[in-house]
Amino acid sequence: MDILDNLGLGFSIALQPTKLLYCFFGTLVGTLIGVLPGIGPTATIAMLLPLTFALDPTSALIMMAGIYYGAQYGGSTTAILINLPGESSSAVTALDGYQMARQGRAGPALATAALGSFFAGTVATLIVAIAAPPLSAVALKFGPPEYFSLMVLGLVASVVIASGSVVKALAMVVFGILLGLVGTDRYTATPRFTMGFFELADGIEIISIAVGMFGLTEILRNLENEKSRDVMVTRVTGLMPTRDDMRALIAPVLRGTAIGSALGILPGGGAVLSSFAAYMVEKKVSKTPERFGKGAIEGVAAPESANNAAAQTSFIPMLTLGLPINAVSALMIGAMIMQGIVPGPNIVVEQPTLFWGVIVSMWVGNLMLVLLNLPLVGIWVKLLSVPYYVLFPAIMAFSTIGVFSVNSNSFDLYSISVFGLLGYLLVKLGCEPVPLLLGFVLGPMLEDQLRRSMILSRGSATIFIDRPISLTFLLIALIVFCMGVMPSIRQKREEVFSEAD
Amino acid sequence: MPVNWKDTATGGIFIAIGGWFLIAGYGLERGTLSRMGPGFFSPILAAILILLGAVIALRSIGMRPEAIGAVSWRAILFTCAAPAIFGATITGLGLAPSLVLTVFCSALASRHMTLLRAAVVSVSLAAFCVALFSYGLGLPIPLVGPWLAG
Repeated sequence: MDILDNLGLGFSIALQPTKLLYCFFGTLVGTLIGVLPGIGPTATIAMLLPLTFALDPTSALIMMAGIYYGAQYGGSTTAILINLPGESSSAVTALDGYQMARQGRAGPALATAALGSFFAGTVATLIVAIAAPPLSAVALKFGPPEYFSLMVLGLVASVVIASGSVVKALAMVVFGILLGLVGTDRYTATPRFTMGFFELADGIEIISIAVGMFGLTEILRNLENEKSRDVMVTRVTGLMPTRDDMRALIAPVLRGTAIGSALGILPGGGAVLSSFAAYMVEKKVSKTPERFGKGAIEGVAAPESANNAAAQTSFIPMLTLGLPINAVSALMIGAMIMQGIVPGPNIVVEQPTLFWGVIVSMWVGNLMLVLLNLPLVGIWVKLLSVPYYVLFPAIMAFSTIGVFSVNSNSFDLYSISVFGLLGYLLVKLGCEPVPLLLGFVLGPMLEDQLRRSMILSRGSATIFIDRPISLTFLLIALIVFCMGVMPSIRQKREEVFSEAD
Repeated sequence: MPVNWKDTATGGIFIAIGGWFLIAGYGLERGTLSRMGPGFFSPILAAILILLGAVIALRSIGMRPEAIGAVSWRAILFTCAAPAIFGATITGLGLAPSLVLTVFCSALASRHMTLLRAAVVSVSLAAFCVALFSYGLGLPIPLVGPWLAG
């Protein structure tokens, strides 16, 4: 069995002491920021990104992945205990989870979230392990036109799934691609849009954009309405769900896992979308839908399984195609490029230890999360009493040191200020920064594949519709876009996002 | 007629950005369809951006105005200044003093911050970071720079 060999290789990497350490560190940080409202996984990974360059690529990716799924996990703890979802993907969990806590069933609610997430994480990891190699084998046959069309599809999908106006999201993608083109042209060595700054010859640093647009912007949004947090926490007693609970759990967890695994692959915001979808499905299939919102255990099990499954499967496009589908995977691709690894289907063949090590570490990390969260839940909640005015200067200190340590030039730090200001302005005007980041990461690849395609076809643009796979991608992109601008679906989308907020 | 000025401004910003990329990329070699030069892709994108900006701006006419929401100018000033301060002082002052300044500045962004509190936060955080990064991780940035050494 190939897959067993591969997983065996993965375990041999993921169980190395240093890898275990970084996996643990990642899930720990992830849980921490998941618990604390006001710092999301994107901003955290953005800020820790510079520090990962000192690590080997495998450790760096293991840690970044750990932060991401750890945050999904930690977010549910506060959602259940104090009705304050640490992450938007846990917003639905708060509906029934907090009610359970008020009825004195906080323990079973937490255990349900943890066990559901662990089960979903295990299944989703297996799905990644089974689906990734054949997918990348197919992708290896792609030529430049297929890649170009696939990236167009990815960008279009991210636009449709982003919250807010589609036109604005589209403009952000195009702006992002343009920012990605800044720097020296790879074919002719001509400097482009550098305004005479030699620091821009290698392009804009992704860390400056990430820390500025996600880190600074998030701090600024939190400082708009500063409130002191009053935390009233119920003591958690008796973690284990009853036998009846367990029986009620199985089907929702399975359904949540299936929904999450499927939606996680979608570009944009798989985790948020899937937890919401899973909750709706449970309510629909339930014989007693009136119990939802009043402490139904299914209402905790399904969305928690779904968001964790989605967090895992969202790595499939990144690992097999080199395509980022959300901000976190865009940052991970940025990290790979800076480490000298070319993201794409070649990774499975050329970097098997990295590929399988990262996949297996996701499962190991999920196990750590169960061990980390359930017994220590009290400590995590205590952290909520750390005031935000201590927290954000600390974040600022870490990220400035981190950014400076990468290139040792002050220009990158001035860029943070500029992108922070620009990012905040755009967010205030209703433009989400995620499509911009995706455009920025994909921009150079997009131009490269376009030029190669046109060389292949000797200048005929019909190459994109003559090749069947490329045509298929473009048609899907068109359908997705039309669906995105259709009024009825747009309305539904607004509902999803307003509920998730 | 009501105008959603927020969107008008958004459209204007995208038009300006697109315009800048169009002008800044003016001298770049275009190349041919089969051999695209460095200046082929960017003008197309810039034109699309201008078009999208125009659509956003035009659609704002006749729409109800939207509120921008709360803005803390204090937070914007101090938060955005902090990385720049670090960048400006790190080589001259060295890691420790530069960190104190940076953290002090960013801490002032909070409305709940007093000068004394900011001083305590910045000195203790700087000490923690120096211990972690310089001694713990061996980051090769001098603790005290040439401006203070003389």
